[in-house]
Amino acid sequence: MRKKLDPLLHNELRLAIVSLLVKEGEADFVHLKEKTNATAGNLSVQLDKLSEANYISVHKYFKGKKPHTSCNITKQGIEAFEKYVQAIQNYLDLNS
Amino acid sequence: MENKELTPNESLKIINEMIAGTKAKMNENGFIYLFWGWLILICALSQFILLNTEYSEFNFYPYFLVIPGAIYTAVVESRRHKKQKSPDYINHVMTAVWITAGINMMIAGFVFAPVLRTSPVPILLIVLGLATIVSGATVKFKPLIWGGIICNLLGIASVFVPYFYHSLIVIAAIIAADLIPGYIIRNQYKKQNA
Repeated sequence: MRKKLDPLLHNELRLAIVSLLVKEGEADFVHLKEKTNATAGNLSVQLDKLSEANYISVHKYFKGKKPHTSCNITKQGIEAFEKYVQAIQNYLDLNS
Repeated sequence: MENKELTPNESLKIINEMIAGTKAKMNENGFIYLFWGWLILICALSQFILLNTEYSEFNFYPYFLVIPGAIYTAVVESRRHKKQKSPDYINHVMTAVWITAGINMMIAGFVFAPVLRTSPVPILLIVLGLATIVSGATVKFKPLIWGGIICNLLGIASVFVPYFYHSLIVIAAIIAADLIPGYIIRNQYKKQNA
């Protein structure tokens, strides 16, 4: 039977953010923006959604006078990502 | 990047681009490489000096310094892990590689060498080379990969060189595999956090 894909991860930008954070553990807003080519507004909205689901944790702080946003993947985020990859694999197996 | 719905193939493509296409972030300041680099350099240099004196039979003794060094590293690293906000796969791999390599090098130095009555340097250098290359490949950091390769080559060369010069080979290997990459990592870290 086909597993339902996690709607939170089944989105281009959110999947890119979570994949990147699974790899790097931690990344700041500027780095995420660079890697995903997203607009700041869109990135901000998607980070909030992932943070509300507790897939990532977002920390805002000041580095000197500049505000910084740093994001970390959570254990729950890694588990959701692993389940998502498994579901995609199942889907591709069924269709091959 | 848009917020569109994805096909499974598109999903895989994104995951692949993000995971394979980016350079892993080096979450370190090079301290551990510099600490071990200088510690081993001091041990090897002391060994070479002892070999040139009347105390040459004690030439291996400076290497007992690696035991407190290993304990200190274990304490520093476990504190760092506790402080970390999120699980990090790369750190996990690096820790496993270096704990295994460290234990195996101690077995070679403190068990194989006295029992087999042979220099542990060839084995030490190929184990150090292996761990250094794996670390460099994991974080995609060329100075570590090259340092590891040089270490491996020096390991092979040491088989053909008399024991008297082995400590000098160790010094060359530790400069290539630990000190040069360590200072490059430290400079990058300083720039990133400036």
